[in-house]
Order: sequence, then structure tokens, then C-alpha cells
Amino acid sequence: MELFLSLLPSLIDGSKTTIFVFLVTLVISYPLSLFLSVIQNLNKKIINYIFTIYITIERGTPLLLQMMFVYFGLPYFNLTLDRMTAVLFAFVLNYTAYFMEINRGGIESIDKGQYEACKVLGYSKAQTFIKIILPQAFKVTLPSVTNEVLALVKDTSLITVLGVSEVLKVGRNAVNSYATAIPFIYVGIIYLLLTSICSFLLKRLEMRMNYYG
Amino acid sequence: MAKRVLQVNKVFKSYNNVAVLKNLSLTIEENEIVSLMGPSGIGKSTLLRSINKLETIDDGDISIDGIKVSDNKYQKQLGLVFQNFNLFPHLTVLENCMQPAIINGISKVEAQNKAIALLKKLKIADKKNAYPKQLSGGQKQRLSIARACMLAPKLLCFDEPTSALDSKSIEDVKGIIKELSQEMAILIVTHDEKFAEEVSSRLIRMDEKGLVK
Repeated sequence: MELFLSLLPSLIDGSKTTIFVFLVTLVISYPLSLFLSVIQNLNKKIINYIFTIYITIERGTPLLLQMMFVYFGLPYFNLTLDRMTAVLFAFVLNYTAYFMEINRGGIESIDKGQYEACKVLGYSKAQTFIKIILPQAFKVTLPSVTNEVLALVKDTSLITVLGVSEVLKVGRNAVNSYATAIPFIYVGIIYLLLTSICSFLLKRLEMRMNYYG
Repeated sequence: MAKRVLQVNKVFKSYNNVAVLKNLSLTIEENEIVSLMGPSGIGKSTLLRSINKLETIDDGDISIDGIKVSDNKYQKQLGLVFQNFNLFPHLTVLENCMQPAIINGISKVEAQNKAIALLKKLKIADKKNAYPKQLSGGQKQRLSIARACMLAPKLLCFDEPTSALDSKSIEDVKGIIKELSQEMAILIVTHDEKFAEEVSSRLIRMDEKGLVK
């Protein structure tokens, strides 16, 4: 208990960083993915080609490598970012790509009759997508989005590599200082708490979306 | 002399070099209820879809009330009740019904008043806050009819209106179609011979050579 109380302030500080990276990534990448999915759905060949390359790179290489490239690699191209900006940049790029793929699956699952009804009723392509297709795709993709959000909570531990003082780094430092593995358990409990809160909130959202078929 | 509402003039349509509609012509006058029958694959649905701009014709003309299919105003002249209704599952009955009006720039209040009047006429106003999944087959069809009638079309098309209905609902839809024909022309594509004979003022059969009266 004494160890826990002495670590509590630094664990709280570390958790704040973890939550900050999580929230900024989610708040930027998910809406950005929706916007890019709208553009993707316009079926312009060149744009979709660029999206394919972007998604292939983001999904095909480790997030850790992407983060290191942004922080250590970009200075070779005369672009230097501070640690936190580099972390957020890499996270947003990576998660936007994953969310775009989830959106694509959701959009493709919508019955073509919905598009035909829109056409007959006089919807423009943009109106069809924004008012009819996206809200239905959102519901379909919610379980996958939940998985991705939970993965994001856990992926924030990667930022420790760039020396950002998040909750895992606090735990590791404490393990070294106090020569005990107990701080890792505290860190695990914090991650469990964060993922449980996200899971609970998204499950509730899923249940609220069950008002229609 | 009754006014011509729909004019299909020497229409050709083919898929992969296989002609489906060959030099097909058809006229429907105001207040007429025309049922189009024929074996599967003969082109009934293609004709219906072409009239509703869900397919592009290769040659010929289609016009409603003198407005050609290529005209922007054409779509507002007709309504389509889909075989499986294609209602928007995330919108309430009232919202589904209001959509065509809102999309066409009619104010929300006016759209709502118009939608409620139509829902009352079709006897589903008490379900206005329900979602499509909470409706029976007959109620879904009545909502689909109400939605298709929102812009007071000159021609209302039905694709297999009896395929998803029980005998009681079929009787109801007969009455609705007859009532609606006081205000607009009706085109029905159906396999249901008995229904077609009972509801139509004119029955047209399609065969390989084209339309046969």
C-alpha cells in the first residue's frame, strides 16, 4: 500500500499522457476517416489509388516503426517534430487508415436497394452517402470500431519508446527503482480500467443504436 | 380524350450485347392502372427500372407528362414502390415519409404536415414514431407508397406489390391503388395474375416480341 501511495502521483501523471494521446488520436482519426471515406466513395481512380498506397503502408508496417520514422527519420528531410507531435502524427495517420478500412467494410455491406431508393427519391450522391449510407454503416461497424478503440488504448504504451513519460514508462522506472514487479501490476490495472471504460461506453452506444434493424 | 402521362417510345436496352428491350413502346394515360405481366427475364423489371432512371436506355425516348427522362424535373414526376420497400431503417416512419420533400427543398414544417396527411390517408399515422423494423409487411408497403407519393407524382410504379404480403394486405393494397388512381396513373409489374386482373384497368403482357395487349 505504501508503494502504491508513493507511486500514485506519477501514475496519475503518466495516465494523463496516455489518455491525452488516446483521446487526441481518436477525436482526430475517426472523423478524418469518415471524411476520407466520403472522398473514397466518389470512386475517383487516382484518389483511390493514393488511398490504397496509404492504407497498405499504414497497415503493413508496425506502428512502432512509423512512430520512429516520424520522430527520427523526418529530420533527415528537414522536418523536425517534438516528441508528442511526432507521436500524435504517427498515431493519427495509422488509426485513420484502420478506421477507413472499417468504414469501407461497413459501407459495402449496405444493401444496394438503399442507393436505389435514394436515386429514385432524388438524393444527390453526397446526400445519399451522408444522410443514408453513413449512419447505417456506423451501426454496422460499431463492434469493429470498439475493437480498434481498445487496441488504441493499449498501443499508447508504444510511445514509451520515444521517451514520452506515459503510464508504462512510469511503471518501468518504478520497477527499476524499487526492485519489484508490483508497479507493472498497477500499470496493468490502469490499462484494464481504461479499456473497460471504453468497452462499457461503446457497448452502451451499440445498445442505443439497436433501435432499428 | 384522356391525357397521356407516360410515353415510352421505341426503347432499346441491352446487357452485354443481349437485347432485353427491343423497340418497345408503351403509353399510359391519366387515371389508368396498367399491369405489366410476362415470364421472368422478359424485361418487365428492366422496363420499370428504365422508366425510374435506375437503368440507362440505349436508344429511344421516355417521358412523363411531356418531360423527358433526361430532364432534371423528370424524377419528381414519378414514384416507385420497391418490391422489398427499401425503407430507410434508421429513420422513423414520419422521417422516411418526409425525406423526398426535404431533399427537394420543402420546409420541414410543410414536409411534416404533408407526410402526416399522407400517413393518415394510408392509415399508418399511429405508427409515425415507429421504425420500419417494427412494422408489418403491409404497413411497410403503405409507408413505401406514402413516401413515393410525397411529391404528388404523375405516375406511380409498383414492383411486385403482392410478393411480400398476406391476403388481407393484398386486399388493402388493391383499395389503395384504386384510390390513388384518381390522382395519378399507376404502372404495376407483377406475376400475380389474379391481383392484376382485379386491380387493373388495362393488362399488358410482355413476350419475346415486345408488348402484347
